[in-house]
Amino acid sequence: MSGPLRRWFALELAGHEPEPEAVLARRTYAPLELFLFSAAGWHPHRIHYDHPYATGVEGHDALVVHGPLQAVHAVDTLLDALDALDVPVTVRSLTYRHHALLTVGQEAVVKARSEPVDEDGSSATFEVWMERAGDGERTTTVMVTVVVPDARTTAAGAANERGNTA
Amino acid sequence: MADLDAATFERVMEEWASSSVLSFDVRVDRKDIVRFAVATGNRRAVHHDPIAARAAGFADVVAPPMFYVALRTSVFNLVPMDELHPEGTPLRDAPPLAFTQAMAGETVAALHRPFVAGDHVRCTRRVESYEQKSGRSGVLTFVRFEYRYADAAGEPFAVEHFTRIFR
Repeated sequence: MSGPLRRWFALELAGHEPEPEAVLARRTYAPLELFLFSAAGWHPHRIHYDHPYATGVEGHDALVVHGPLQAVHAVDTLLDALDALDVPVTVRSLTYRHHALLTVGQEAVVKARSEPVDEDGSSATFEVWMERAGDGERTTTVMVTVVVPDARTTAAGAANERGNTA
Repeated sequence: MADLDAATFERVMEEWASSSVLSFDVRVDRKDIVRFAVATGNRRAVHHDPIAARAAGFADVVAPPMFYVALRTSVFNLVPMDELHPEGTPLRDAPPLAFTQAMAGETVAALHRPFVAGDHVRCTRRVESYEQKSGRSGVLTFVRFEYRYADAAGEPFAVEHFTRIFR
């Protein structure tokens, strides 16, 4: 998982064209995950845990995965990938939007694309999204801005480290 | 959703928006953070283990970046059951218009500093804007809320702009 992102992140910070996108993870949600997320946040919206209501009343194929849960997993997946690069980052801001439904049992793919590093070089904005594996339709997109302490130095260090161990 | 004329919609929504400011003071407990971490599959030690969190420079376990989502819902959704719409949304989150579905729109959040177990947080909600649009599936009402999470001195932990769509 970290391979494509490692190259893409280093290239972006070095000022080259990034790879268009990287597959970071795949996941298929189960009802238990939706229940726990609803419970942890006291979230009573029934489409996330009440199967007869979700399918019979609202007409969904199955329980609907919370949009914010998808955003959480998109962000966490990105942070895990950056961790794998030994790049310490802090999330400064994020914007997310839900485009289509993702339901329990549907396989989802977490993908990412990079945006240019801010001019001061201390932060970077990443576009991470979740899409349905079946039809490729995006369900949630997150723009994550992270603070990267001395980003170019860190990337150079990572590149040197890779060079030394190659 | 019933199609109101523009003047009626504006009057009803303005009255609702001006009276819908809510504010609650809460304490973020360790179990709140651990539950969120468990529910989202986050295994980082700083979110579970106070020793690991202290070693990382925090006073106690520190929350994952998107913990504010659970803080919002756990604070603002805590209403008596008869104050929930049949689909589960708290009635006070909805404008006084008939609707059958509530959906999440765009969210924009600025994260100023992480929540740490033991933090006292003032959670404030206000309606920032609203508009009605006609779509293929009928009339939609967009309501943009601002949720602000700050300490006693007013210094923010996070500020969230969250749009809900009612159909």
